Order: sequence, then C-alpha cells, then structure tokens
Amino acid sequence: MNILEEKTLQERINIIREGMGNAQNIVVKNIIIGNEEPLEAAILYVNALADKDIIDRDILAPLMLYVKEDLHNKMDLSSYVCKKYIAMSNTVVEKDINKVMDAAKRGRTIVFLDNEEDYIVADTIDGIYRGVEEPQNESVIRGSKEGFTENIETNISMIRRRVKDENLKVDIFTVGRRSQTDLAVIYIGDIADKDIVNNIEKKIKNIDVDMIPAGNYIQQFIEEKVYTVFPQMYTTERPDVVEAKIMEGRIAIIIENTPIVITAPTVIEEFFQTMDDYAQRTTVATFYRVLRLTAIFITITLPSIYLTFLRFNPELIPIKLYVPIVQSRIGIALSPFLEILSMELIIEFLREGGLRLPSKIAQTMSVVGGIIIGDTAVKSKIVSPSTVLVIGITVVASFLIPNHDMSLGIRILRFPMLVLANLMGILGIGIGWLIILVELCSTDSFGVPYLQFKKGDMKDIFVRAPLFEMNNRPEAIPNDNPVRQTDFREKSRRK
Amino acid sequence: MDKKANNLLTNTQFAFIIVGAIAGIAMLSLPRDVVEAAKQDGWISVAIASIYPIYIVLLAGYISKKFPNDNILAVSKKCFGNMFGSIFNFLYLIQYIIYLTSVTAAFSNIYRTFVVDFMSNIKVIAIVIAISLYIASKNIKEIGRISEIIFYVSILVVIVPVFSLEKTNILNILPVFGTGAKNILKGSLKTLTAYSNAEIIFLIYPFLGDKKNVRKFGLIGVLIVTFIYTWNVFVTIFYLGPDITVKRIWPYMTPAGSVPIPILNNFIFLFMFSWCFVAFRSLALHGFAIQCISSSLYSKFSSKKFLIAIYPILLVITYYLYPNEIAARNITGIMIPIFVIYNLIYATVIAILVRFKLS
Amino acid sequence: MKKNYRFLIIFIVIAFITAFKAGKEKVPIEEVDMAIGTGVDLENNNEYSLPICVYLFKANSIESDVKVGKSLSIGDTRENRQLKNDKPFVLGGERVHIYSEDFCRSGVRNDMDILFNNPQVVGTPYCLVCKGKSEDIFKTKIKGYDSPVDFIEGLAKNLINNIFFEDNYKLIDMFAKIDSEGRNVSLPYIEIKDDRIQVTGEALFKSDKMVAKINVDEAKWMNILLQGNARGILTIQNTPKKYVNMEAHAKTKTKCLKEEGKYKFIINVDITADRIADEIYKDTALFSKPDTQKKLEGDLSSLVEKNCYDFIKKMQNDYKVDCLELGRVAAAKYGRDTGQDWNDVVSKSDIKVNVKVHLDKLGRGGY
Repeated sequence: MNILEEKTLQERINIIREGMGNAQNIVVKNIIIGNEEPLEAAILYVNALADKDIIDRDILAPLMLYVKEDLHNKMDLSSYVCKKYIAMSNTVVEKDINKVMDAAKRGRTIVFLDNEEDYIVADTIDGIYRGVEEPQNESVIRGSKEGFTENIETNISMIRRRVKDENLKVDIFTVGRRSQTDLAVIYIGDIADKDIVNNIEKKIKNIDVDMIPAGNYIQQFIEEKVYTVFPQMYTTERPDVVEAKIMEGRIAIIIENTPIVITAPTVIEEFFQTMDDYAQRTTVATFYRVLRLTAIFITITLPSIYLTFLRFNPELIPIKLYVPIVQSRIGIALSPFLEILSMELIIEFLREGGLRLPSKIAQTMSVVGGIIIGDTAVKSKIVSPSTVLVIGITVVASFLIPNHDMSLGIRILRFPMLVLANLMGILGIGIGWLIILVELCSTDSFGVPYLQFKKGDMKDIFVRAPLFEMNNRPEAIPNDNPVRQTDFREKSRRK
Repeated sequence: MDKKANNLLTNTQFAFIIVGAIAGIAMLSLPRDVVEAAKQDGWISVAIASIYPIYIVLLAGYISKKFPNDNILAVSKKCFGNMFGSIFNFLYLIQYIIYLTSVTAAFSNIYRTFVVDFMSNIKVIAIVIAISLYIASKNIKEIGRISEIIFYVSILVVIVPVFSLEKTNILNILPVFGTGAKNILKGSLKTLTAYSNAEIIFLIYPFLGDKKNVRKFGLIGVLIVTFIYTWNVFVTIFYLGPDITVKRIWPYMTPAGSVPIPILNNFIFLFMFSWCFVAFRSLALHGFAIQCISSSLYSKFSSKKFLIAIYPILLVITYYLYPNEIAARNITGIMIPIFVIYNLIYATVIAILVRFKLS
Repeated sequence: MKKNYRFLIIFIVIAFITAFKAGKEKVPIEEVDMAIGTGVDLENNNEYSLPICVYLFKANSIESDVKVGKSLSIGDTRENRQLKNDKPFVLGGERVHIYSEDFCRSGVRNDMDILFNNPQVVGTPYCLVCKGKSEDIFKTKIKGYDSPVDFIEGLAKNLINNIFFEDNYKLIDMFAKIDSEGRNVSLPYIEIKDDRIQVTGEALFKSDKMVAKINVDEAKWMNILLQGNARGILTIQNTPKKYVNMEAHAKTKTKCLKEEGKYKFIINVDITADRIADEIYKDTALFSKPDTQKKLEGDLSSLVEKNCYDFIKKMQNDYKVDCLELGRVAAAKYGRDTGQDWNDVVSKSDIKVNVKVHLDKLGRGGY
C-alpha cells in the first residue's frame, strides 16, 4: 500500500493507460483544481466511447472553473469532490484498479486526484448506436414495434420498462477474454427456478473464448445437444416476447453488441407461437394455430408422400388425381426422386441466395427464379407441373413457422425424409417420423424436457384458450409461483 | 415440474409403457385366432382373457410393496440364490428375445405384403431391429415419454374403424353367447398369447416415481389394452362376420382399410403409417427389457455395447427362424403358451416366497 | 474417436441399405399400366380369358385399350398378358369388375380367391355380370367417354336410388356374402342392347355359382324385399292412360319365427311414397275426400304385396335360392353353423309380407 501512495499522478495514469493496451484513442487531460493552492488532477477517457459534451460540461467545467476552496487537506477528498463539484448523476469512487480499467473501456471517465489513491469513475457512456427500430426478422401486425438494439443498457432498460416488479433480477457477467463482452442474465426472482438459474450462470461463467461476436455463440456454447437440428434456446428480437417469457419463469440472456436476446429453458411449443396469437381473438387465434401445426407436418412430409405415391404405390392415388398426374408425367426426363430433389435444391438456392442480396437485385431474382425457372423447367419437360405444385405448397407451408431457427431446422428435415421415402416407401416415412419423435423426446433444455404435453398446458398448445382462462403459468417450465391470474371476470359479471 | 431424477416415470407414462408392451403386433391377427374358436363371440373371449395380465399386475403390485426398488431380477436372486436366480433371469432373457424376433418377423411380413413389397425380408428386418435397439438404448425416462406420445398417435389407429361402421351389421354379432361357454373359453386361451407381455411391469416398477401407484396405474394400463383389443375384435366381427374373419390372415386390416376418406383411395396408407409407431414402440420396449436383464446378468457389460453386440444375433435368429408367416405363427403358437405358463408359475412362486420367506 | 465410429456405423448402415438390390424392381407411375377395369371370361369351359382395360396416355388425350391374357388358370393369365404388353400391370385402381355369364355359371370362386389374396385389391370396384364376353363390353366405344369403364362405373353407381338397388354389390360385399351363412350374392346384369350398354336385370347366385337371371321387373320386387333401405318408382296402372307413379322409399325389416321345426319369416315393408304423376286419384279427390288417400295407399300396398308374393313363389319354386338373405336372420336368432342349407330351408318355409304405405310429398300439384 505504501508503494501506491507514493505514486505520482503521472505514474497512476500510466499504469492505467498501459493496462488498457496504450491505445491511441485514450485521452488524458491534466487539469488544475482550485485557485489558491492548486490541486493537480487528470481525467482519462476513451475517445468515441465517452460523451465529450458531458465531460466538458459536467466534469471539466465545475472542476476547472468553479472550485473556490482549498482542497488540499480535506478528508475523503474524492467523495467530497464527487458530491460537491462533479455535477453528474452517476459517479462512483473506486479503489480496484481492474474495475477502473473495465469502466474506462466502456466509456466512463476516470478522474485522478493527486495524493489520493482512489479514483472517481463518472458515467459518461455514449457512442453512436443504432436506434430502436422495428425488428426486421420478426414482425407482427398487432404488437409493439420496438426491437432490441446493440446497446446493452438500452435493452435492459426496455425490459425494466415492461417489468416493473421489484423481484426483477439482473445479473451482469463479462464473457470473452479479449472482447470482454457484457452479458446480462435477467429473471424474476420469485418465479424462476433457482436450480436452472444457477445452472445457466455456472455455464456462462465457464465460457472461455476469445470473443462473442454474435449472441447465438452463447447459445451454442451452453446448449447440451449440439448435433440436433432443433434449437434448445429461443432467440428473439422483441422485448414484448421476452417480457412474456420471463413472466413464465424463464431466464433471458442479453448480450452486448447483439440485438438478439436468448431465453432458456424452452419447450417445443414455443417455436410455433407468435405474439399475434395473443393479440387476436380466441377463435381466430386458434384457427391460425391449428393451421400452423398442419403446415409443419406438410413441410416435412408432403414431398415424401408424393414420392411414395409416384414410385411405389400408385394404387393408392385417388382415381381423379391419377389421370392428371400420369398425363403430366408423360415424357418427363428425370426419375421422380431426382425431379423432386432437384426442384427442392433450386428452391433452397433461391431462398438462401435471396437472403443476402441487396433489395434491388432481390426483386429480379424472385422473378427469374420463381417464375422463369419454374415455368421453363416445366416446359422443357425436366419436371412435371404436379411436382412443381407440390414443392411450391411445401415451400409456402414452411413460411408459416414463426421462429427463424426452427424453420431452418424443419426445412432441413425434408431431405432425409425424402431419401428415406425413396428407399423404403411408407415404411421410410414412418421411420423418419419415429426418429424425429425419438430425437425430440430425448432432448432436454437445461433439465426441462423438450417435448411435453402437460394437461394444464393444453390451453395454449393446439388451441389458444381465452386469455382470462390461463390462470396458471405453464407447467412445463419449473417455477415457484404458479398462479398468475385470478378469475377477475367473475367480479364484473352481471348478476 | 420435471426436475426429478432422470430415471423416474410419471404415472401415466407407466401405464402407457404397459399398454405399449402388450398391444403390439398381435392386434392385427388376433381376430382370426379368436374367431376360429369362438365364432361371433370372440370379443367376449378377449375380454375374459384379460384376467391374465390383471393377475400379473396384482402380483407385481404385491412384490413392489415389499421390494420397491428392486426389479424382479434382483428379487429372484434374493429368493433363489445367485445361481438359480441368474438361470431364471436368463430364461427371461430368452423369452424377450423370442418376443422381439417374432414381432419383427410379423412386422416384416405385414409390411411387405401390403405396402413395401419391393423390399426383401432381410432388409426390413435389419432396419427394424436396428431402430428398435437404438430406441431401446435410451433412458427409461425418454422411453416413457416416447410411449406416451406414441399412445396418442395410436389412438388414431384404434378409433379409425368407427368410421367404417356403416357397413356393419348387427346380425353379424348375434346370437350373443351362441357358441357356448366352452368355445368362448377356448378362444380365451388363444388370446392369451396376445396379452403375453405384461411381465414388463416386473422390470419397470422400480422406475416409477410414486411407488404406491404400481397397482393402480398398472391396472389402468391393462384395462386400456383390454378395451383396445375387445373393441378391435368386436369391430372386425361386426364388419366381416365370423365366417369371413377366419379367411383373412390379418382381419383387422379390412375394417381399418375401408374407411372412406376424401383424398386417398383407401385408408391403408395412413393406417400403415401410424401402425409403424405402435410396432416400434413395442419392439423398443422388448429391446429395453433385453438390455435391462442382460445388464443385471453381466454387470461388466455396458448396456449400449451389449445392444450392438446382440444385434447380429437377433438378425440371424429372425431371419432363419421365421422365414414366413406360417413358421412365425407355428413357433409363437408353441412357445408363447410355454412362456405364459412359465411366467405364471415363476411370478406366483416368487410372490409366495416373498411373502413367507423374506417378509 | 467415438464420434468417428458413429459416423462409420451410419455410413455402413446406409451403404448396406442401398447396396443390396433385392426384391422387386419398382418403376415410377408413368411407366405402369394401372388397370381401371377387369373382367373374367371363360372360353370352352376351360380357358380363362381376363381382359384388362387401361388408359393410354398421350400428350393431350387419353384413350382406352384392352389387353387380354389367356391361360388355363387365372394366375397364369398374368404372364400371358405380360408377353403382349410393354408395361407392368398394377391392380388396385380398378373401378369395375365384370364377369361373363358363362364364368358365373361355372363358379366364381377362383377369381374370388385370387382377388382376396391380393393385398392391393381394396374391394371398391363394382361387380357386374355381363352377357357374352366382358372383352366385348370393354371394347365398346362410348361417345363422350375416354373409356367404357367410366360409363359402366357411373351406370352401376346410379342404380342406387333408382331401382331399389342398394350399394352392396361392390367387391368387398361379394367377399362378405359368398361364404357367409345365410347370405347370397346378387349382382346387376348388363348387356349390349341397341348399341348401348344397359342394365337388363339381376343375376342370382347360389354360393358361388350363378343360377338365374331375373329381369328388371322382378328385380325390383326382390330388391324391395331384400334391401333394408332403397328407393325407386312404383306404378299403379290399370290402362295405358290411367296410372299413378310414386317415388318410393322402402324400408324393410325381417323377423324370423320357428314353429314346430318349420321356419316362418315375416317381412315388414314400410314405404314412404312421393307422388310423381297421378291420373287416377286426382288432386281434387285427394284433398276433398279423406279416404281417397287411404285408397291410394291401400292400392299401392296391395300392388306391392301381390307382386312380392308372386316373386316369392317364383323364388321358392323355380329358383330355389335364398336371395332375400332370410337365412342370415334365422342364423342370427337360432344359432349358426348348424349345418342347415338355408336355401333349402327358405324354399320350404312360410314367408309373409306386410306392406305399409305412407304418403309423403305430393309435388307441386296435379294437372
């Protein structure tokens, strides 16, 4: 301790500067405080991470211009200066040099006072971030149009705005050796299950990597089953979705520099629910939910069923379909399997290519791909029109899956199913579905079984019961506080 | 609240496992055997024969009360000493091997007759056994979940013939009790083979989370199976009449296959698709039983390696022992009654010994 | 290392599955000839000839073609037919199954056997008996139809609700009826008359052999007695100009009694009639005089009774076949498998018919 006391101001500044890698955009300004017996001081901040206006107005101006007393022999000088002269809302007096360096890297300003061994850390975080916009990959018709941004404080504040409960807990971690990315784990203390929270936090603490450039890296680091196509954590860009999920006992993980928030644990029904379901009326929402579930089945199995009919069991085709299908297949060059496979691949090319094209080219591509290729493929007798129709229906059905990760996974499942159907006909389709079911049943998301049909949850899986009937939280996710609503409609019913 | 240990089943999963183990491939051919003996009262024979699994469940409930955490293999070692107990357990293993192989052979025959006639026997058998051993290698908890879900799928298979009821005729069932009690009982004897896998309850009752419910949910499982079988035979007789039922090798396909549905030509397609799940569920449960027994016989073997090792043996047995449906039915017709008697005696003896010797 | 093993195993399994080519080769759908109609002929009492009607698909049109296979046993005709054809055959999509009369008279059991055994045959084709050879029926060109099979299927389908036929002459019904106790098959009978294919009666079978053909008028009464729920037209006619047409819906229930070892059957026919045309009892009479209605109903019921009794007498004396399935009712009540020949029993038993008629709709008004 004696050693530290003896350090001069300049030495202290140099220690911090080198601890931060001696970067070029670290700015140090030396100032003099006071008129009669000037006190040496300095401020340190990182350019473009700290808001220069605040520094100038609230730190430098008072310290340089308005200190009229002698500060040399005051006790607890740092806190005195904080309380009296630094006209800022968020200041902390820090002794730990590592925390000081962390704070400086995030845009806070460090004020060094001569002959003091602690540091004043003032919150001047700024920087240019993307503003709050509508999330582009998850739009709803009736819901808020806010989406998360890359700034972790903004994101946390968006959730705090929606969950004003005093039990909302936010635990902050730092992950990544070199990137030192901030990570916040958010949950409601008296609803979420403590074991799961501890499990997740332990896994996060154990991550030892260089960087976390995208939020989904965390997902892949802490998931249990890596090779399956089904995601075991739910990602979203919408704060209203996160609010709903925390309220059911889940845990949300917000990662700095990504607009994506991950929630865990998940069960498979979540991937087929959207915010719109709850914003619409009951009957309407139920209809669309059932439609969505049908669409999933169609996406995975329709091409395989079609292939089975063509190749192995023509006697099963209904009579009225038999004639048109056979007539359209006269003279087709490819065998049914290759035909379906090639059309599927072309559609996947179109989709994957169209994701990342600039919007002007995307339009041309949709015309070329969809219309011209489809039409000319039929005319040149490479594929038959009924095949194109079947593939088209499948593709359209795959658009109904709301969650992007899940829809990618389900689209991939089509291909093994097709291969199985080609080898074994109906038996292949049955085996394919069986293997999917077995995989789903043996997947756990942090101890919570992936595929569950609890009786109390039935109100929200295949149908959407009226909102006032969902009195208990879903039983699929372990929670400590099951009741979320009471029967308030009874009170307002006319007698 | 599924935070319990990975090895415990919920009550409904327990019941569904029992349903899955018993209601396997026998459902399709059951009406033929029964109606041959009992004519139009076959469904009564089926209902009566459920006494056998009910008895087994009651025994299991009793044994589990005394030894809640040991399955019957451990209990038999305690009762008969290590060597004899192991021998009896080995006979148990043989039983399950025969079940697995006979169900696989029946499955292969049915599917190759109706929908996949372009595949050869060995291919279908190889794939079927491989997949059922794969499922059997999972934890009991996952097997419980799978059984539960497959049960809901299999309801489709059971309920479906309701829609073909318009072609049925009440005259096919009358006169009730016309064949006389002796024939009805003869029919019951023939259906015992279809009920013949209730013994799996002996192996899985330690896995039940709530040990008091072994008897209750075991009985619920057996009752569900009884209902399914009775309904099955009833609808078949209702639809075809007793004379034609004996002509079909797999009579249940006819009412199931003639349900009129709008898009497909006949319903066999959907039926085969859902039937596949039912068959695999029962095969997986047999495989699980094999794994369970063998891991208690040779505890050095890890169970998954054992399954891989036994796969070629099962393949060879199925292929050579059951070349076609006739051989399959002959063998099961001889061996399964032996097993039924063996199980009855074995379980009863153990229950008596438990009561007097060890309680 | 464990992960590499896993992929190795998967690879081996997939290689095994795809490598061995065993079993039948399957060709895709456009290279398959799916039979849309099948027939069975018997030539010279020993040679089976099985024509099969298929579609010939061209780019813009469809035609129908008949391919025939002949051999001494039904299964062998498949080989013979394949020798003359470029595509493999697939059954299971046929809509019409036509037997020639000669074949029926010698017994249809062989054909039943091979069809029953084939798992792809579902049982939905309509079965008909034809005069002459079914091959000729399939070769007839009918204006406006790609294939005569479409026409015949429609013909068979529309017998229902028209001549008191009920929908039970599909293949699956034939399976059920041939060997069931107390049941007998009866199929519509078609022939080519005046260059058109027409239904001219019904064929009665005893077990699996055809024993009689009854013409349409008799078939009407038989169907009223036989079917439980049928529709058709009844006419009371005294002179060419004076007649009443009623569209009738007949429901029949049969009861069986046994007295002193002899069987007695009571058939209750309940007819609900709609008036179509009426020249005898005009509207004025019907509405003003209350017992005109009773007279109408009484006339109708006595007409039906008389004709039914005529038919029953013929059935018991000439045909000697239990085509009304009365044996089934008796077996249901008094026990099955008693070894009795129901045809015999019914021919000797006492059958009574009770007819009740209700007048339902009158139409718009009489002229």
